[in-house]
Amino acid sequence: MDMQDKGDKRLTVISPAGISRHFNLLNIIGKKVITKNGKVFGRVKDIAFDTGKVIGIIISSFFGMKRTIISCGYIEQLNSDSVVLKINPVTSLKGKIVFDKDGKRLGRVSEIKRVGTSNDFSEVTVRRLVFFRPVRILKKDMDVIGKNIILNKIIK
Amino acid sequence: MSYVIGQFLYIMPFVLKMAGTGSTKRIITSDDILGKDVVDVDGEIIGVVQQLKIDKNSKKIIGILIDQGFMKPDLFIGLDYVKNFGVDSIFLNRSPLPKIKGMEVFDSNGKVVGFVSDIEVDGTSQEFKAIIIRKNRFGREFRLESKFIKTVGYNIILKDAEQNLKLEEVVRGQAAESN
Repeated sequence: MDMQDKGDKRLTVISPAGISRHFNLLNIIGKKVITKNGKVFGRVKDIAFDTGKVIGIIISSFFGMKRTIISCGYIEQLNSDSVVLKINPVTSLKGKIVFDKDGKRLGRVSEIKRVGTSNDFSEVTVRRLVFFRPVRILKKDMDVIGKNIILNKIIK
Repeated sequence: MSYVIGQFLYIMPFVLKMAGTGSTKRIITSDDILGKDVVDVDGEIIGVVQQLKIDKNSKKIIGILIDQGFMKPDLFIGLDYVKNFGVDSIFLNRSPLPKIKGMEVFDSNGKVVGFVSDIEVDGTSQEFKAIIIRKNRFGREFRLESKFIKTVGYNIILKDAEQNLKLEEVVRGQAAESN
C-alpha cells in the first residue's frame, strides 16, 4: 500500500500497515536530553537497535567523552524538540556532595554500586580527598537525593 | 605562673556555667556559623554565611546573610527557614525562591519555552503564584501561573505543551492575553 504522508509531499510511504507518526533519525540526533528534574543530561548521539528494533538512545555528555544508552522504557517524550526522560539517571549521582544529618560534609560520590543495568543502585562510595578512607553509604541511609545528597543519619 | 594557672582553673567552671544552661554542646558561637555552606532542601549549596543579623531591640538573631557568589546579590534568610546549624553546613527547611530566576523553562515535549526572568510571590510567604518567562534577553515577557508547572528542579518542566498553555503577555505591568 502506497500512502502519501500529509505533512511532507516529497515523502512516499511503502508499508503494509501504513505509518501514523514518525520522525527521522536526523531530527533527533543532537537534540537535548532532559531528565525528570529538568537537568540537561546530554545530547542524542545515536539510536541503539537490536534485531531491527529500536531499544534506546545513545547520549553523549561531558564534551562527548561519556556515552550512555537509555532504554526506551525510560523515555517520557521523544520528539524533534528534545528527549524527555522519566528518570534521573543514576550515573548523575557521581560527583554529588554528601552531607550527613548533622551537616557534616563527607565528600563526593566517587563510585556507584548499581543493581544490574537498571536505574537503581544499592550503595555509593564517598571520598573526601585522595588520602582519606572512602566511606560506603547505603541507599536506605539517604534522605534527600537532589542536587546533592543529605543522609538521614550521622556518620562519625 | 602557677598561681595564674591555678586561678584560671578555679574560674573556668564558673565561666562555662554562666555561658548557658545544660550541656555546652548546645551553645555555638558566630565562628560556628560564619563561613559555613548553606544547603537547601534539594541539597544544593546556595552560598556561604556572610553575616548574622541581630535585632537591636530584642537582641535576638533574626536571620543570616548569604553570599551567593560572584556577581550575585546577597540573600537574607530568616531564622524560621533555618532547619539546623550543622557541623560543616547550615541546613534550610525550604528552597529559596530567587534561585528559580534564570532557570530554563521546558514544556512537556521538552521544547524550550524561555527562561524565568521574574517571580510573582504571594505576599510574604515563600509560595510563588506565577513566573515571568522571557524567550530571550530582549524578547517579550509572558506570565504563567504556577499551576501549570510540573517540576521545579535543575530547570522547570511544565505540565503541557506550549501551544496549550495560557501565557499572558506582560505589557508594562498590565497582563494581556496573547493566546
